[in-house]
Amino acid sequence: MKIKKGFVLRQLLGEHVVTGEGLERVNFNKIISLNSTAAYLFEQVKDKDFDIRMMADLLLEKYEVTEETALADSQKLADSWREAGLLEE
Amino acid sequence: MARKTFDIAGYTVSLDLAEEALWKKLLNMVPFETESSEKPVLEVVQTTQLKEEEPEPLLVSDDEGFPKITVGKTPCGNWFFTMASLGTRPTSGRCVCSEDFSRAEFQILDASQAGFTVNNVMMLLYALRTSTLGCLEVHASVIMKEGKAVAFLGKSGTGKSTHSRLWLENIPKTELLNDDNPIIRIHPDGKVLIYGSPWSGKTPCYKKVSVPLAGVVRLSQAPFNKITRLSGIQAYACLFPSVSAYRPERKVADGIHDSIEKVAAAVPFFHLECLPDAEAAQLSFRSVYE
Repeated sequence: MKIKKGFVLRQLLGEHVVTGEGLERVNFNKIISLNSTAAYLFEQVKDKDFDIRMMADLLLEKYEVTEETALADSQKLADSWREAGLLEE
Repeated sequence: MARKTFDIAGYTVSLDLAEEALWKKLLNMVPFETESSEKPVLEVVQTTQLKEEEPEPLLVSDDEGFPKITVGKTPCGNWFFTMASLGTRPTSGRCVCSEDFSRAEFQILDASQAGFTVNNVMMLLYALRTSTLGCLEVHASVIMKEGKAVAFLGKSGTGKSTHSRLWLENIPKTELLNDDNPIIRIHPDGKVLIYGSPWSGKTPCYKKVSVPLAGVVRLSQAPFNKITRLSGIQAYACLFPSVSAYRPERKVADGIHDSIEKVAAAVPFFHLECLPDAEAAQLSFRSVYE
């Protein structure tokens, strides 16, 4: 999967948000709020082809979590991104 | 005189018309005329022949009931815009603009739509040019009271103008500042002011007046009246869709982001679910002013 073109991660009032700003995203009138872990993953995987395994490995590099938790959290996050319209396969 | 200068939200812009008679169709600009010798931040000139050919558009914005606008880039790196008053109408004008939105030439293609074309070119270029100068051109209806103002936002047809009218009818000492396209400007000292502009939709209300912005209220229709305070990201998200911009241009998107963030932090925001009645106006009035 991939993050669709035109999404920008920004700092907003001390929080992380993603807004649709590219040419392809002019009608995307939503703001997606990310926690700092999700923002870290977004930064790492944007412009790349990635999968759940890659996301989990990124989490394991940075946080003290079990592999099981990392995989489950990555799956959950990818699902929420897909639901928000951020992903293409 | 073919060239005139205007003071819009404190920024000087100039407009040079090849057809002098066209000024008679631009009476909405008259209150903003200035003798200021300050160098304009935006200089717009009418021409009978543009120097560059129309490129393939990067973007076509064609929402029902709104002007159709196309955005392109020429081989020299200039912007190229075309506009029609509605998607079903032929192109009424086109415009070539420098990369930084400071200088532009436009051509009128349909004389019967000349006023629309000039206003649309000016409105569009002003929004883009001043997006990096602390300005937000917003789609809103604005009421003044006690030397400050409240802006009503909402999708087209939600009842922004109706809500303003309800304030005028039910709340003493109120006055309409602008009914469609006011400008919010964030000053370096952090003050957030709202300005009237030469563009006010269907209501002729062209006031060169500025007052502090006391509140922003997003309206949505409901079978009851209820108001909710918005804060932080909610306030940002409330204003974001009502700002005129071209977000694919990163400098514009960054400027707008910065300004909306400052307004969201400095001014109280509300969401009003409402009926078109006096009680709704009283409710938003008490929330912003008490």
